Amino acid sequence: MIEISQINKSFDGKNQIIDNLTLTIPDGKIVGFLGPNGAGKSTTINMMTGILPIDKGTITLNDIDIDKEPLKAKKIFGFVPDRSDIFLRLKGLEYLNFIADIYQVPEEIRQEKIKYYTEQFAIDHALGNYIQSYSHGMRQKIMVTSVLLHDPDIWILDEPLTGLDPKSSHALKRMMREHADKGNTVFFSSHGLEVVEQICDEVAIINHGKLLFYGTIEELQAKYQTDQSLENVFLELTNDA
Amino acid sequence: MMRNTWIVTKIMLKMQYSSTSKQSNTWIYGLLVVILIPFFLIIMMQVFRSIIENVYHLLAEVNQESMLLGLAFLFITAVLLFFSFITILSAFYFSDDITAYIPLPLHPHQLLIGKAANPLIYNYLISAVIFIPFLFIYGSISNAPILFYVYGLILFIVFPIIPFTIVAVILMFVMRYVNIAKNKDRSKIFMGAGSLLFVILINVLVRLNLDDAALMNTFTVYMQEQEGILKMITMIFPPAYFGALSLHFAGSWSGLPALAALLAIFTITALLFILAGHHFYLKGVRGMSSGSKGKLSEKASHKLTKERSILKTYILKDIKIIIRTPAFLMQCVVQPLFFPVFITVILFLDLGEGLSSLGSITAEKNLFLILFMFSIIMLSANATAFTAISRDGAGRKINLFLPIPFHHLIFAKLLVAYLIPLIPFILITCVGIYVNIPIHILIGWIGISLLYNYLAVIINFLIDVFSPKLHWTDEQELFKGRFTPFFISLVQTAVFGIITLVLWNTNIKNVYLIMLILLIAVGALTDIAKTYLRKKVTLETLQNLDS
Repeated sequence: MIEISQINKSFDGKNQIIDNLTLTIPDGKIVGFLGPNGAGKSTTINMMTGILPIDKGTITLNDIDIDKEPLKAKKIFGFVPDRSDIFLRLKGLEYLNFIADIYQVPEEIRQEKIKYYTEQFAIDHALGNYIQSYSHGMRQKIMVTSVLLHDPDIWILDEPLTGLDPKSSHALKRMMREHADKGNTVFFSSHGLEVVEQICDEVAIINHGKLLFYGTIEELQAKYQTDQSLENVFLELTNDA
Repeated sequence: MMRNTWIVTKIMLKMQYSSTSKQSNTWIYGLLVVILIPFFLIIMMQVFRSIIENVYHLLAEVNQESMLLGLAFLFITAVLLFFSFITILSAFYFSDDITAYIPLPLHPHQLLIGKAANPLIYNYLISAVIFIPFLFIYGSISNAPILFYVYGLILFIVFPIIPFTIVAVILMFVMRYVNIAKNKDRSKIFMGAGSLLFVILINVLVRLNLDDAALMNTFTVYMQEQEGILKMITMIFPPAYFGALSLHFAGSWSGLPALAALLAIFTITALLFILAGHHFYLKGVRGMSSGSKGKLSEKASHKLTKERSILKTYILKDIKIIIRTPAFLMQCVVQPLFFPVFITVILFLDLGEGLSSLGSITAEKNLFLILFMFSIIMLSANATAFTAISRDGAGRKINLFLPIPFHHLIFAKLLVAYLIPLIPFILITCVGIYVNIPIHILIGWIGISLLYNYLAVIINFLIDVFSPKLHWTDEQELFKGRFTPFFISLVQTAVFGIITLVLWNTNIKNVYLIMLILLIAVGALTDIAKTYLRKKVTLETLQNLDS
């Protein structure tokens, strides 16, 4: 479970990028995180993962405070960042092994998992190549694979499906479902409303750093008394229609 | 036509020196330039004037004072050749921005001239530091006429271009064939470093093949001839001969033909450069960034998935990235090697036994102080440390969201930055052993240098933490327009230079006491820097780097 409690963030001390945001993401659910560009999604995720310090408020992951016990908290989540163009001079396998070393995954288990997941994502043939030579989709796949190696309770994914081919996208969505069904937490941000509609149990919508809605899609439609698609409700809600 | 060349050059220079981040402290650099450069020039003039004066009078007695001019030109040529290798490789081949210019309707030579601007600026800066003080010192000692300075100015403008074009032509020719190699990054490095080693090797072989007796014979023959020694020493590089001759005869008409000969060489090399650019440059650059393919064998796969500790895996990751990224390799590993390589070359250029007996003839105290200053110059700017955080670029977030203990992260970064400068240091130590430095001086020097290296690493690391360059798209950008490390290195050299000068001029003769004083000074500064690092660099500092 992820508990975000009254967090605030400002980069210049004047404008609040995140304004008193409170959100609880329960176990066993896939939760989509939506909002227009600049709404504060990445800032929130960066605070959840310890990339950015929190100005005010707390974030706990399975009851561990990311600010107070960062190392302990970081061990229980896996994070796919929005940018996959990192460590380009490492070979795919070297990157996966680096991550496995950081999470101290035993040798046999890492070898088994690397084989399984890279076959699932059809990148097993390219593991000996530098990440630099990978396409955007392949880079994304290697990032996702690295998160799966240490089997974290919580998955935090920033735009995980961007650039994936239909087969890999389907495989990842299936994995997300299986992970949540085991009682774990899956939290991901996305611009693809169709995907959110398709796989999310609940959605959180933010704009200007404030939470506009949290609940199921049915609850969203009921609240706005409409049977319109998520896209239309989203546009209406975020005032971009 | 000229307009396009000018536009491309301007844009390329702008890309090189402009920074995307706000630079509110540029006035500090201006102030430092105003204070530090004259400071160094005065020190250099002071130190070298007496040496040049002594040598001049010694040579003037046998009518061979022109040899001094020849030596100066040879020295400048050697330095410019070395630095041109680095700057040309970086600008022409390791910077990916050329791919953005290739589709534009421009001639290869126009791109080439644009690309050449930055390496040439470096060459002019280097010759300004070496040549201008020398010109004025020599001029005043020899009561040179006004025409001497006019020729000097012309040579200052023309001469640095000659070594540059020679190196550029060699590199363009070699790099033309890198494109067919499988691993392009590695080949680029090997070919670049290989061409440099080749030039050094030829030089060394030429020197080794000269047997001493024959050399002495030739020496005596040339001695009797007017400007004979000059001719002999500059035989290896004729532009140095003509440059020296034109200055030597600046007072009479006979200086003019020498200057004309030099200008002719300049024209030929410049034309060769443009010709090579037309034929080889774009062919050598196109397709340079594409990758290779290959499936791993079971055995290789198992080898690459061995379990390691967090610290070890992080250190290995950093070292691999430095070695595999041409821009990082050049700046962090190869460039620091140039100073020791350069010293080694001078050693081989030395015709007699002069330098190899240096260790035994210099007073112990002075020898130790010279060696200490060597270390400061060599280790004060540590590119691995001042890019420790910035090198991660877009991947820096990973340092924060992965469960890496903070002290492991900092320790790994510092250790990598500490280890890499040891490569050139080991080389220079070998030179030290070769020149018969007494063992107790050598041990004292190594000890204090190892401690100083730690201080330099912390200082450079702090520079990167407090003024990082995180938003780069091309690795070369990391080193563009970052003047802070250069100035901090100058400040370190100035501070320790003053301490050294004071010690040099005191009555303390005991070398152990000198060692102790320097050890206390470096130790105290290291302790202050370490405490500052511990206090000021926290996890939150790294989290706030972007804001």
